[in-house]
Formats: sequence, structure tokens, C-alpha cells
Amino acid sequence: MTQAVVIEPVRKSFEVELLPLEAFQLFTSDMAAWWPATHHIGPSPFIEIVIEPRVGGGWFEVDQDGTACQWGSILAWEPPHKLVLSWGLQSDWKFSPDLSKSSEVEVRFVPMGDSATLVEFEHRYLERHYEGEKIAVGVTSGWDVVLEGFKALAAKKSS
Amino acid sequence: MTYLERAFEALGDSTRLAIFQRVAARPHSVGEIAEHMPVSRPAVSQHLRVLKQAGLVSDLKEGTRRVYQVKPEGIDALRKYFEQLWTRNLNAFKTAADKAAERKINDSSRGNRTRKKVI
Repeated sequence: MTQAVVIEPVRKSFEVELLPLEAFQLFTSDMAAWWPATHHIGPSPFIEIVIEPRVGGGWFEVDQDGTACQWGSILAWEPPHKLVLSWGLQSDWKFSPDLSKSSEVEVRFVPMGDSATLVEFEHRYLERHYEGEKIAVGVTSGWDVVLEGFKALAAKKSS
Repeated sequence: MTYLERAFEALGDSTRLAIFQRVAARPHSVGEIAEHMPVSRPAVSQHLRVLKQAGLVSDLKEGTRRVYQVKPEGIDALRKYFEQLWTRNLNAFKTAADKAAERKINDSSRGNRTRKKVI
């Protein structure tokens, strides 16, 4: 009965001095080469981030201790122009294979002239990570903090 | 008055606090709240107006009635998180792409290319 919450997608676009295929390959074939090392979900740092080059393939990090932690899967694999990944990491950083609870990352590589590429990035359906009870939990706990503050203030005033 | 002070003041009335707690549990219409409390509909509406002005609740139309819910602050935080994550990570990707482009230029000994800045 409550209206679904919609979160505005995160969008970015920028130009690189590479051909679309070169940019596509740089983005997908060795993500660990550019992805900041501080961002991993496994207990130890990653040595590799794999995007399997096919629809239905996995997107996962491989950690120093050899464990693989999945981030998502490949929804569209259309080199050199388009890539769509599902983002299955939930707010507790656990992976869910359920696509209805996953957001989507789309990256398009648009040719600019004869040697450059416009990278158009979108991370959408973010609200899927906050559906159902999670919204209630997140919001309620947020407001619990406010109410606690209020109670403390009220107690101070009355003493 | 700061945002929090305004919020606290809005909650400083016991009836209004009770209404807010109901709405925080799940979205309610004015009628639903009035049904369960010894307060008239106009009074409930007035309290909700104060809560809305304090930024504590938002309302949306559902058919002919107006439903009140707490403002989803957690949602803003989620979006901000991803906004920051991708700004940083795509800047890192851009840096890697610039380096790859430079290598390409050196390899083919073409010069005079300009690099545009970031996102």
C-alpha cells in the first residue's frame, strides 16, 4: 500500500583518449588494476577483480587467501559499446543473487571522433537495496537516534 | 533554529510525539490516526502540518487521501554513498585510461594531445 521509493540513479560521464574497445577492455579485463584497493568485501585485500565476458557470467573479487567474493553478474556484454552489471551487494555487504534485490551498473562507450571515447556511466535501481522491511528498519533506527537525542534534551530541561 | 532543534520542538508535545511514533511505525493517513487516538481529525492534521514543517514527515497523495510517512533519510545516505564511491572509482579509471592513452601516444610517437580533466 505504500508507494515505492525511487532513488535518482548515480550518473557520470567523461571522455578518455582511447578507442571504445580499448576503454571497454581496460574497464573489464583487469578491474583490479584501477579499482581502489580499499574497496573489497572479503576479509583480505583482493588480488583480482573478474568480470566474466558473457551474459550470465560472474563479477567477483579474488582475495589473497584465494577466496572469491561475488559482487554481481553480467546482464549485458556488448563490446565495445555497452556493459551492464548487476550489483548484488546488500547494505550488510552480503551478496544476494536475487536480481529483484540488485541494482544495475550500466557503462556505455560512445565513440568521439576518430580516437576518443565518451564513457557514460549509470548506477540505477538503488532503491532495490532498500525495499520492504529494510526501509522500515533503516528509517526507524535513524529516527531512534533523533528520538534518543530528544529524550536526552527533554530530561536535561526537566531536571 | 537548527534542523534538530526544530525537530525536537515539534516533538515537544506529547500528542504530536504519539502521532509521530505511529507514522514512524508505518505510513498513516489522517483518518487512520484519528481513529486510534482521542484526537479530532482537524487536530491530527494540524499536528502533522507542524511535523512536516519541521522536516520530520512527508506526505503523498494516495487516491483521495493523503498518507504521511517519516522522511527516508536512510535513502539519501545510500545514494550519497554510491555517488562518492563512483566519483572516486571512476576517477581512478580515468587516470588509468589517461596512462594507457599516454603509452599509446609514446608508442606511436604522436604528440600534442591534450588531456581533459576528470568527471
